[in-house]
Amino acid sequence: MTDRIQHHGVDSLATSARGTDWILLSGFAALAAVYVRVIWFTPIEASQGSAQKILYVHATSAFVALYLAFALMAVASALYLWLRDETLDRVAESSAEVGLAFTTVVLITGPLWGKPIWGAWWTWDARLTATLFLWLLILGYLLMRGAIDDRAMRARFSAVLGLLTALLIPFIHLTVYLFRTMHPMPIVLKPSQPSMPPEMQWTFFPSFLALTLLFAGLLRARYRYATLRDAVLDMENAS
Amino acid sequence: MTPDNAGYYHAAYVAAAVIYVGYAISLRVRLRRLGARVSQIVASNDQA
Amino acid sequence: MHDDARPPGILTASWLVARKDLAIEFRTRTAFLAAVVFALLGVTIFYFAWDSTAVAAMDLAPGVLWVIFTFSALLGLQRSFGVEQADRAIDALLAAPVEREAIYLGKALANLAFVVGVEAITLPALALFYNLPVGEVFLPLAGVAVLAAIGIVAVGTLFSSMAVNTRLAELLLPMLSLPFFLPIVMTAAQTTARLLAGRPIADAWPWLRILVGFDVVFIVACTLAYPFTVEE
Repeated sequence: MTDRIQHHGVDSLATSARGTDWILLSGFAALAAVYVRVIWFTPIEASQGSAQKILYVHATSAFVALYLAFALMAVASALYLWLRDETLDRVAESSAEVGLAFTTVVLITGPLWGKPIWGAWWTWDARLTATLFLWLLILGYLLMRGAIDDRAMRARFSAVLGLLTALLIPFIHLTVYLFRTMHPMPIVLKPSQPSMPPEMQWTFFPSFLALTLLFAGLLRARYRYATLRDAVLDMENAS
Repeated sequence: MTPDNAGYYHAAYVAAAVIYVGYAISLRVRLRRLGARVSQIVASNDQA
Repeated sequence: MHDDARPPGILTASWLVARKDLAIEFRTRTAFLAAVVFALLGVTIFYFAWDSTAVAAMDLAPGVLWVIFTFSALLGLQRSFGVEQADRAIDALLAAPVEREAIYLGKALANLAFVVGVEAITLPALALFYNLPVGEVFLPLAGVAVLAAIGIVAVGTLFSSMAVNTRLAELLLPMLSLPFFLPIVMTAAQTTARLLAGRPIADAWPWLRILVGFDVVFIVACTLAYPFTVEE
């Protein structure tokens, strides 16, 4: 009897996995609209040229990665240690992986902006270094998850690592910031960030919203995957 | 003088699109594979 | 003399755990000697990896010192919980009537002795081989080395206990620990460079402050986190 109910649950999960994911699709539609807006309807900044437009996908992805994905991962990790709900572990796992995708975009688009504007692909600036290390830490986090079979142990270890990572990032930022201020680096063209003209703001904020929607869609899809995977494992262990 | 650096801008937007779409597709594939696994298990249990 | 039926307090228990680990190390001495040899090899290899006529040994030394300290510390940390895996000795340790935090602190204390021991041999060796003027600054330098060692073992002991339980085992420890060592290596190397250049310790204060902050934050965080990693 319980077996049947369990099967039914897994089956409905699997069916919903096959259906159309409207949130994810609207996330991509919104992103496409932003692309159109950036390419044809946003003015080119006079001193930086069209490379300045990279900002609309770079800064917004960075914001989503840091303040949504990794903040969610840290909060879910902390709550997991307190409440011991597997759901929270799956949220942490999912936001880490989706956050990794966003951080990868940040790390690729960043140098593509830096080369024409700063004159160098990479500078060891505090934010760049912290982002790079965050990326490495999340890779380590996901690798560690893959190397533990016991689900409860994996959840506890991951939660601990997730929390310690959240403690570490400010330290990295602080030390690199100090390093930079003591060793000034050559900057070819120092872009200041004055208040953006309205046309640019009308690209920047919608882009931020579109990426947030995309994040929500990807997170939900990844979370569904984790739920189904765990349910399948339970079923295989039961039989 | 507005510098001409459209190449970097195009490359960045292509890279972002490839990563986001590619990641979504990888999720889709992984979900489908699991779904197939579920049907297989359910079918074999129904036979038994 | 304390009552034998009563479980020991957290400090006594930590000391007992540390003494157990140090006794094992004293009897075998394998890991410590391996780490020292590794560190000395590192010192010589780094010297020849640079063109010593182009780069002054003085500029090279702080970086070499801290890269070697971190990597040889990893060798010791690797072993910290590795020895408990044999015959599942860790189960007996966990079943003992002591606080989980005491096990962590004891392990960390033993690791600290290990890392400081390696540093105590490597630092004079480096000064000798690189002709460094460490005479006047030896004490502050030793202080920085101890502060950095505290941060390294605080994080490394926790990750060692986690890593041995994964399929990647020893491969995972450097991957998890090295990002956490970045603030330590940076602050310690910057302080060392200033001390070796004969500048007053006050010049290095902004760096030292971060190092001390790191130590405090991660000793507390890792002590609190350890019990979560050993639950059954």
